[in-house]
Amino acid sequence: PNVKLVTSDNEEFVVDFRIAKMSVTVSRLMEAMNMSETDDASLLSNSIPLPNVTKAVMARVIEWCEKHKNDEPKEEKENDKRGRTTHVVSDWDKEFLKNDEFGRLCQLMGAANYLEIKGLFNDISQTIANMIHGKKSDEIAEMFNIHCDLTEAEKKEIRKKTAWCED
Amino acid sequence: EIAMDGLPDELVENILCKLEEGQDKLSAALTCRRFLAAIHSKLPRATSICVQFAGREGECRASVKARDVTAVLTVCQCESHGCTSMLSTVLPLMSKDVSSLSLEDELIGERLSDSAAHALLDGCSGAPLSCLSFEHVDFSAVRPWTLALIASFDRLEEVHLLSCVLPEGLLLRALAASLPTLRSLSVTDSSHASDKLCSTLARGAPCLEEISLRGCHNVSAASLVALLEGAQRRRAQLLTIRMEDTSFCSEQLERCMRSSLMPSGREWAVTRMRCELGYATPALLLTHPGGKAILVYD
Repeated sequence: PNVKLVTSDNEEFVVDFRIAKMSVTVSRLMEAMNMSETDDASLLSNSIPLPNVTKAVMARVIEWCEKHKNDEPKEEKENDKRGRTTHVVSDWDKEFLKNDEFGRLCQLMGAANYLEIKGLFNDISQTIANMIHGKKSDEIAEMFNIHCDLTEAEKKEIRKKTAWCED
Repeated sequence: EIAMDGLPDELVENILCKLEEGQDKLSAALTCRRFLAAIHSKLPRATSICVQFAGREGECRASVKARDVTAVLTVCQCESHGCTSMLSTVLPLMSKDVSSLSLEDELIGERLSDSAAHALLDGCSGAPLSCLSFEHVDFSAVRPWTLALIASFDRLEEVHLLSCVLPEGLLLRALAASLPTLRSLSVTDSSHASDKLCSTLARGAPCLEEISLRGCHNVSAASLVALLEGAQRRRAQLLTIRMEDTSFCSEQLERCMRSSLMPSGREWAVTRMRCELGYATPALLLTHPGGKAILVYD
């Protein structure tokens, strides 16, 4: 059975019920609208509006979901001993996100967050974190086009309190 | 165009919390106020302090270095350099969140002065220490009441005295406060350690999981007898004990276990094994039907 999803720019995507269920948000909306897998009429007569997602972003989200639809539901190993929430990005996912420029990644992350697709959300979050890894603060600011609003005195204070990281 | 500015704060926080290394977290915190707010509580603080005594008269250099979460303080004991007073000033400021303290003496043949020991132990007395470790430290010039400061740490889980000179009686008194939490104890290459150490541990340390007495010549099979008899008081199923280069002898232990003076001795089953610890080491596995076991490397 198929489900119709409508994006903010009025594009209709017809996806498999299983794909639609991968989004917690869509899943909840379908429940609220009494749409069920066994009731074709309910699926045909309704479409799910997604006002926070554009056509271009939705296409990418669906591509990711298609690849991951058969994944075992896995427990994210959140909070290891030191309370880290590191996530391992699979090779396919790395390749998938490789060519997105930063603005697109942010849009995709926003969509994954709104749609509540945890795997995709963590992939993007970890990918951006990996971009930060090994860079100095001015390089990070340049990469993300951030204007630094900290004073030199404040920076010195932060450095003093965390002196253990720098040589 | 949505970019970093368009991401809600909780998403920025989610990204920054995935940074693992201290250096990355610091760089991110220095980028802008928003990043700082997101990662502020995750910035690494020193959780361990390592004090090294190094450098002979005339060639000593004091330094403070950082290794990951460890602050390494290198100092000398020369009267003229005032390193002792530096320790007593710096340590109380640094040690608030420190869980591990280690002292390494790289000067072979020199004794730790009482004032340096006092500065070190008193300076860390407010720290929530769970691990205390000394290497090559000769405590023979340190006064008993200075060593008693160790007893102010009352939740130590790991204590290591590697090649140190410290009388057993003083060690036991210093450890008394932490016996209920002690999980791992090493006392190596010490002529002071005797079987009294294990008999105290057998009675008073319910969390014990590891002991190393390598190179302590005055330790014998009697240590194992005490630990076997105290086995039911310990919470962990397995206790590992390293007895290489001691007077421990497995034949003597088995004689004790069969003797009528040790009624519970016959309840234990003995298995001889060889364990790979870099090289094949003979080992003795003692198991009790009650579920407890002791693994001895000799």
